[in-house]
Amino acid sequence: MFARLFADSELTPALYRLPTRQVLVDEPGLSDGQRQALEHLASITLMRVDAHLAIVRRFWDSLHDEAKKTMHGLAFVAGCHGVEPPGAGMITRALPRDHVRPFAVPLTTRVDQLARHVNTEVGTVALTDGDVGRFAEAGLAALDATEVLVGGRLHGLETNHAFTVPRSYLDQLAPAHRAALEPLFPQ
Amino acid sequence: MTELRPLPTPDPQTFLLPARAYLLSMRDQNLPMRRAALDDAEAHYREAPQGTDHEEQIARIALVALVGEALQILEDLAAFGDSFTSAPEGTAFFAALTNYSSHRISNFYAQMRKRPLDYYLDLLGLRRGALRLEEAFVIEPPFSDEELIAIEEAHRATAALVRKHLINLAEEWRKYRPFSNAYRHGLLVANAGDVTLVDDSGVEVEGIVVWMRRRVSAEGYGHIAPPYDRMADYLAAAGRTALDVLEHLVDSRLRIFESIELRADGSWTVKPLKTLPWRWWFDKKDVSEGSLELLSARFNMTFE
Repeated sequence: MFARLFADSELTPALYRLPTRQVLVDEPGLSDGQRQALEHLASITLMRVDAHLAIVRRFWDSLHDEAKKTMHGLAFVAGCHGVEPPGAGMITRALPRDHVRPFAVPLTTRVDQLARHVNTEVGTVALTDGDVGRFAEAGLAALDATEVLVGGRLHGLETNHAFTVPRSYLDQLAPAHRAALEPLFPQ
Repeated sequence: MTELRPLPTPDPQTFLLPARAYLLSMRDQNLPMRRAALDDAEAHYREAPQGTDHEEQIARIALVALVGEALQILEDLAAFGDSFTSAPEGTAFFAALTNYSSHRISNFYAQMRKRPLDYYLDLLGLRRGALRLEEAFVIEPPFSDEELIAIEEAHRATAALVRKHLINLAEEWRKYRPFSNAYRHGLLVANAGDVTLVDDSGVEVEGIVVWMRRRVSAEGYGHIAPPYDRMADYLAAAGRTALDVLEHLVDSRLRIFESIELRADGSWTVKPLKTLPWRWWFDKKDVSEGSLELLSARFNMTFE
């Protein structure tokens, strides 16, 4: 899904049901100032959502296999047991000698039934405070992106609108635009 | 007991050293992490306010999260236990553990009731085929016939307790797995106002409903009924039982490594044993008084 979102620039605004300029032009009952302000707010929303999705995608691409392992049998060796004597035999041989600690060693075994061949791949996942901070940052980015998606979709369903502009980033609009939208986003 | 009998030893680089590292990782890292996650999920449920309808729904979601964390441990336990019999030939047990199969866990639990006690003795590492663990060591003075019978009795009582726990956990896995799946795959907990839960006779009942995944149409599943606080007690206890069983299995397998000094090049020497190379865990009523007395005297231990 992430690959598709980043390959097609129209997919994210469509997923989030953000209005295009033409949709805003066609919407009755709006002043020109409100249309312009809504267009800005939709652009800001899309930029922020894209930024969140970029963080989430990087995290997903790098660690989704390892994340699955935390749910299916804990296929990990602690880095310390891989590098401290007496080590972990063939697992230790596959590890870089100077990996920054702490780290975990994910194991992936693939069985080729036809060739009767078994291969265990040995990886590493860095677990320094900085790395863990980035895991948490990606989780929060996913939450923010989901909140905007769910909020927009729900509001559209409740008000019978095909497009919605969430108020999430209203505070990032210029004051004049914010003032123009006050009647549409009552406090 | 300070010597191992000369038995064929698996290749240390492929089997012994990786297995030791994996078991130590389970004991030192993975299991404490699961215990913390279970405690955290339980505390989150207990602390959730339940004053309004919305808060009640949040608390129900927290209870489903507790199911998820508890059943996560059941999955770990099954994956670990299954790996000892399903590893491809010529590979260590963790090869099976690290080769994901979507049916493994349910198949493992489905077989628990049918398995003979011998299976559990193997699972615990108390024997390997026909070879009993106590026969792998040179014992001075040798065990008497009565002591060997008492040891066998304690081994079988341990296997019986683990079997009982696994059979019970198999039922929890069957009943609550859809909740666990809902937790893992998007917290698919239905709003109480959106669904009506009925029993087999069509009578409306109260309970938590989760959405089933991969269905043609919207399909709910409900098997958690109030009082929810009691359900939280029950589910947390199931998770902790699974943790206890898993810890016992890991510890049983680690004991053998305490009898040898393994070096990085794969060479090893026998160490003086400080503890028994096995760990008993049984209901006292499952071992005769006479056997308990014999074991207490021989191993200088007490049974609680």
